[in-house]
Amino acid sequence: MSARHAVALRQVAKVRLLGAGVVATTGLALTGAGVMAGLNAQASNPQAESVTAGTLKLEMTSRGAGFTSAVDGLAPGDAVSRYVDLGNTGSLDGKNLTLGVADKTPTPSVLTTDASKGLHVTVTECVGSWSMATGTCAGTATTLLADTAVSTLSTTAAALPTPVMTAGKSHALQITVKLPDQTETTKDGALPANTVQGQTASLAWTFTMTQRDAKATGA
Amino acid sequence: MPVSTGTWKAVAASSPGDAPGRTGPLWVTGGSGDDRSRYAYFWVVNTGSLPVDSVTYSVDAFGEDITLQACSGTWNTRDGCTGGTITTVPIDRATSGPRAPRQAVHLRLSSRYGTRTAARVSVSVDRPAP
Repeated sequence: MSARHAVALRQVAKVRLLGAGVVATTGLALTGAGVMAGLNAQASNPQAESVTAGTLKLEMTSRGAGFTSAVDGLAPGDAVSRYVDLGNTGSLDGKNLTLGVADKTPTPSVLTTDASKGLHVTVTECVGSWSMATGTCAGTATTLLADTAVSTLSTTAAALPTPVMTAGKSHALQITVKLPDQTETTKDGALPANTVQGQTASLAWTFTMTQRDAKATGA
Repeated sequence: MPVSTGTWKAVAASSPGDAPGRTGPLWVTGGSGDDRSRYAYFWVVNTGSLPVDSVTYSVDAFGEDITLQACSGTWNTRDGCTGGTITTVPIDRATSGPRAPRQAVHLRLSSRYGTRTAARVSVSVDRPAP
């Protein structure tokens, strides 16, 4: 290759590089102009969809005096009943109904700490109506809680066998408090140690339930 | 819900007015005078809040032969039972007592052999009336 021919080849290479730079710059400019002018599309429902959450409410109302009526002067073997309506007033069904009892006296006595000597509770539902005077159910009575010590209920709430607490439905309950039959000898006017006599308790009743099982609905 | 239990108890006392709040056995002694010294009178009072069907009396007379007696009329410390008859009240087993709260019964201890009565009287209550 002559020297003149070599110079000519270098000039051609320069022109090619220059041309490539012009094309690249132009291409970037064209690409930028395309983003600025891109198209978008969306769709939405013309009328907003309504979504609401349900409610879970448990309300207890007294029949007659209910729990506000004091029970005084219990003797061994005595049983006293009170009546309440327990209603699911929410919009959701509930389940897993439980009952717990707390003694609100500052120093709980043997009445609520001793399972054998202390108070016991029974809960009965009447599908029908209770006669508060006689304690009888005009309808079908179902025992929801068999004889259970308050001392037990104060530490662990008891499950009541109500499969579903249907929204809007109320349950007529009889709550019976009993002092177990027992002998306790009082000598010369002095009460024995750990006596059940002359004791007081202030019982707070707590029913709880949880919501029904969650659902995944397709329609 | 307020809940309270009643009490069942009774106590021996020298008079019904001495019974409220009193605890412990009662020491009794016969009266003054040869014949009256055989007899010691006392009361038993229901100091509980509940009625009781029965009470149990126990008497420690330190070896003396003692009889516990009730009068269907009225005891008179000078003349004995007036307007009624005397019955023997069992000791150490359940028997009727002052049923209603604050009710009192009047009893007498009698020394069989004429010695001066001196004894300690206790009253027990096992349970209230059903």
